[in-house]
Amino acid sequence: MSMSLTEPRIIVFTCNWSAYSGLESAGAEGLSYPASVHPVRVMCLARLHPGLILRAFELGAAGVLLLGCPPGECHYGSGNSRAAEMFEELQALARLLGVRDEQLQLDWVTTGQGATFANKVREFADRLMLVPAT
Amino acid sequence: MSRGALVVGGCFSAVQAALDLAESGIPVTIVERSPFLGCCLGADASASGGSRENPTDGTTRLLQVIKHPNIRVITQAAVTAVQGRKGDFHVEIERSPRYVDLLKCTACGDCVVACPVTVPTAELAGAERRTAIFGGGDGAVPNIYAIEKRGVAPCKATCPGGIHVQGYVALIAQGRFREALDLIREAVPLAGVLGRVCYHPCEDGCRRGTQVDEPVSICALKRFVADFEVAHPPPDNDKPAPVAKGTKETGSRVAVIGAGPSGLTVAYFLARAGVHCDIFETLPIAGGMLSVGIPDYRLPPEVLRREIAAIEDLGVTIHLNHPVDDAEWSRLQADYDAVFVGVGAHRARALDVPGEGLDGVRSGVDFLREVNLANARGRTLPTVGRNVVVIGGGNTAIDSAMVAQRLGAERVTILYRRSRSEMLANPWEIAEAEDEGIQFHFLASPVRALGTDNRIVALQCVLNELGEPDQSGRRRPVPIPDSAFAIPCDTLLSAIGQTVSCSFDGLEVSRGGSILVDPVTLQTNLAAVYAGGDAVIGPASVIESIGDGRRAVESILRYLNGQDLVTGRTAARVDTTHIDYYTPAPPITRARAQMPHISREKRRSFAEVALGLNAEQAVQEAERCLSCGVCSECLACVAVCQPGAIDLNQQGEHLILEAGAIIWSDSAGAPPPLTRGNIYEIYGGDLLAASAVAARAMGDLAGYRQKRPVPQWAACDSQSRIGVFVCRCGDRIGGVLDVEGLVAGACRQPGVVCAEPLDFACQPDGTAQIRETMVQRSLNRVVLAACSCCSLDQVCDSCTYQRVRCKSNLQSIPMDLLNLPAEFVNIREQCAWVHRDDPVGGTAKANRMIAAAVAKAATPNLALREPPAVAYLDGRVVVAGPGLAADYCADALHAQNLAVFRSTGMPQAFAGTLGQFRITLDGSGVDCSAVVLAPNHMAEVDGLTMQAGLFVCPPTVDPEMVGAATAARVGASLGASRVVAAPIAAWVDPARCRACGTCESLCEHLAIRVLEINGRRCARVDAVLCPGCGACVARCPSSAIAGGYSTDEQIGAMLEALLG
Repeated sequence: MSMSLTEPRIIVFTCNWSAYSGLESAGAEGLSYPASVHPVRVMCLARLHPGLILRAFELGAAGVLLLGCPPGECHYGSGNSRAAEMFEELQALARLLGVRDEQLQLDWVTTGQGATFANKVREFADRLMLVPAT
Repeated sequence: MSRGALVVGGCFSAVQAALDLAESGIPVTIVERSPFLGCCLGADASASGGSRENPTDGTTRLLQVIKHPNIRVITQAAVTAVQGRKGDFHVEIERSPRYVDLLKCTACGDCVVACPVTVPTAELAGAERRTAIFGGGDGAVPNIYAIEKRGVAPCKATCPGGIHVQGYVALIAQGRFREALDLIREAVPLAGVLGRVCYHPCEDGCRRGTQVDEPVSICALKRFVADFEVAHPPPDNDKPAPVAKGTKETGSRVAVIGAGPSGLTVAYFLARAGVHCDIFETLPIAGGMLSVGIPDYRLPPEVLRREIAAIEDLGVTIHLNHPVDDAEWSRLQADYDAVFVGVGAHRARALDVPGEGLDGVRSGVDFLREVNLANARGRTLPTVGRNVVVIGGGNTAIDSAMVAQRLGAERVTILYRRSRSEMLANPWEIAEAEDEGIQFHFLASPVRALGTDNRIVALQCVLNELGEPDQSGRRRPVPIPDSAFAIPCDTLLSAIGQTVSCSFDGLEVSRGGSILVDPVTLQTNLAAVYAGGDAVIGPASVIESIGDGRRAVESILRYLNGQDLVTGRTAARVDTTHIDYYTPAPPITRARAQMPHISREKRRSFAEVALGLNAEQAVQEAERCLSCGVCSECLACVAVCQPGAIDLNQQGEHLILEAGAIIWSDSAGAPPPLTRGNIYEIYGGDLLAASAVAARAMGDLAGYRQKRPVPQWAACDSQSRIGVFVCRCGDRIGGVLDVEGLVAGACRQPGVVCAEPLDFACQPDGTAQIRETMVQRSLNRVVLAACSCCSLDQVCDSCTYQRVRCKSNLQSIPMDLLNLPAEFVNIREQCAWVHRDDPVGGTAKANRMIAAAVAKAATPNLALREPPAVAYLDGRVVVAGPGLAADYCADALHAQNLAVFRSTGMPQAFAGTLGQFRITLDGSGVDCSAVVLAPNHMAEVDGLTMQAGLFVCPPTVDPEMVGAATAARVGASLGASRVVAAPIAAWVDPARCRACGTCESLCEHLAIRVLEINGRRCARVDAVLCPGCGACVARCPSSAIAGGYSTDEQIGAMLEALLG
């Protein structure tokens, strides 16, 4: 129990639409995932400035997971593809800064899929735990 | 109310029509029979409004209806009368009670788990049975439970004690024996006594007996739960508190004269209400007729003693051997605030025949008293002769005979002047007496007792025949001449009735000696003196005496509080004749349970004859209940409902409504009460057809359109003074997270002035607490940690009725207090529920999430300083294209008093959005607020991006319907006087913008453009067009753009709070 206080903290950025709906559905269904997962909602992943993601690492986040809408289902049309472009550039930059790929990932959740949300954040957290921190 | 539209029915098509009308500015009332919108009982249940893939769409639409300022929803209501005609209807509506408060229920579902009654359901897909308290299934709105309560079940209605009979039977059927006993004790003390000696009128009322086979063995079930508690005493720490928590001593004192059932009941309820109570009893033992009138083999004395001891445990003192004489009567009246007289009817009526004074002749009631007292004190029992004759036809006669037999009589005969069917004794007691060998001599009356040496040796009798009915309705015995005969008799017990013998100074009594009381209040001629039981009604039953006691308590409590004794009360029984009771089809087939009896040989002692049911028998017997009322009034839901939302006393309502138009889509399929020309009907679940109907009503009501007000917000410049409120949501949050710890943690956050826990944020009380604290502590920002999740004024997939309710409650806080929407943190679903197994981790996370919301609230969002952007919608509508629907649409728009520009050609160019379109028609530009396109082929509109304010009438077989429906949607979209930018729109800081054009090139919504303003080029957001995605925010190389929902600074502050 006391472990949870010292567990590394994970930031999960969710877009306001599909991914947030997944987060809320997981909550409504009471599907458990590690308490180290801290959600931050933005309207669209395309809105996330890479600087904010790097800021999270700077502040000590063990990992940052970006969850948006599935391909073709972006609420704004192309926000998720813009986010994917941004993510590619960001990941290259993050590698230079010593952030491993397991620590920074982009994924998506379909509206209402609480189980998918819970599984994806749990797997993300599990992978972080397996890889010893450098 | 203002003249608007009435929509009858809450299915999705009716709701669509209501939304169109309401959006267009017309007030709408929706009347739905069921407790839920969208829960169609009729044929179009499949038309969910939402797609199969995403059923939440339907729920979202229904929540928009609930939230809509122009819509009033009345559920569980039916239109009973309509008068008038189009433009001027007078409607009467009957609303049934829901029994659950729409403002309080949190939909936690605890009540459903607690409810012991289930009935099959045809209405709700997927569930075969539902409980008496039920929800509407997935997606039904409001998701507030409702109770199906047909009325008071006949078993309760016939019970003089008002016991929730169906309720405890239902609980027993579920094996919830202790709860069943608690429920019985809500209405009466002495459950174990009643379970043995009650004459159970409930079983006579039981519809299982009148309609199926034999009544449920209710009395035996009551005995079972009382005995079960003795056999399985609850552990000390699990015993219910004898006095309800929070009961305060009132300081009042009441004296009770007589420790019989009515007096004990008075003391029981008064003590539970915090009133000090002393009982004064003439006899050396308590219980009245229960202890000295009912033989031990029927009611074992330890059962009575135990239940009286439970009353004494409440703080009641019973003074035995304490007759109340004149002096004492004066003292009681002086020393106590009120007196209850329950002295019973212990004096035997005289036989009045010659020879009555002979030895061996005595009254049955005296005989039974002597036997019981001797048994109680271990003294020698009285003796009886070999031939015992008992005279009478009541229970005292039967008991006297059976006791005499137990004392060694060889031959016991009951002499009754009428026939068996006129006997007043309970039929089952007569049968038991016969089974024990008691002889019956019907139609015979005693004439004279014959004696030798002053001792009776025989009884001379005469035979009767039955004549005309007398006052009691029973046929009068008429002696047959020359029919005299004699039977040997050495003990004669007379049991022909008892009278009241009491005289208290100043207390009015009838000629027969019984005390005169008001039939409703049981108040005597002395204001502070109340009376009940046999002393008032003559020798009656335990349960009637207990019922009297309960009524007297109500009066005494009102008297002590200075309230009116009569208001809201009646002596009449509940009228059940009009109730449409429930009957399961088919009812479970099982014979009525019979209690085993001890062998006949053993019945020579005073050991209890009837052996109770065992647990298995009890459950099976309880399952025979038909659940007549559906809701059994077991109060289990009330006990578990943490928000206190259940009110079983809720009453229905008769409503009167004036309406200009009526749209009829009754969910039960009832036809409209007036002719079709007057009332619009929606058939089936086609949403487009519903909109077409709405268009006609819109035309009728065009004069009543009211422009919707524009929502306002205004950021305050003064320093943030933040208040944090943490909702417990009963134990839904409070049972997992450390709410006090969260409150303490929030207090330490910078900018936080105060933090408080709330019981239920979504209840009006919660809002009131927030408002009060805001005033007291001069707060200007609020962070609410509950289940709501965003501060946007939107309804999305994760919204619930409760979240919508919570937000609209908060909107009632005046703007000068709460000038920005509160910041919400969902600590219920996102912390308490997903981290139920890790409460420490969940609490730590909730703590950080609250800190993040505080950080966001404390970081100013410059975008919100701007006044809301608006676009005016008073322009015309262009209807363009050759399609047939166009003309119908144009006509319907005309009927709405909207300016229409009709063109048969399709536009060549097209730009703008709702409220500000510019289109090119035949080479010239036309400005308009909305555009309707009616192509001949859909290919003509290929590639057109659908957006607000642009409507397409597809070519169709029914252009009239499509044209009208489109007109309704246009009317709806133009209903607001202005389109207002959402607070999530992007905002450009002109001081930092370099006019590079990056934003303009990437915005797909054409919402941001670089313009020259005052000689300087700068990006400018059209906030009405901006959907708030924030893509421009991330790409701006000068960080000049802020996204409304959270600025970069706010996200940065939140990350620091989450990770710091």
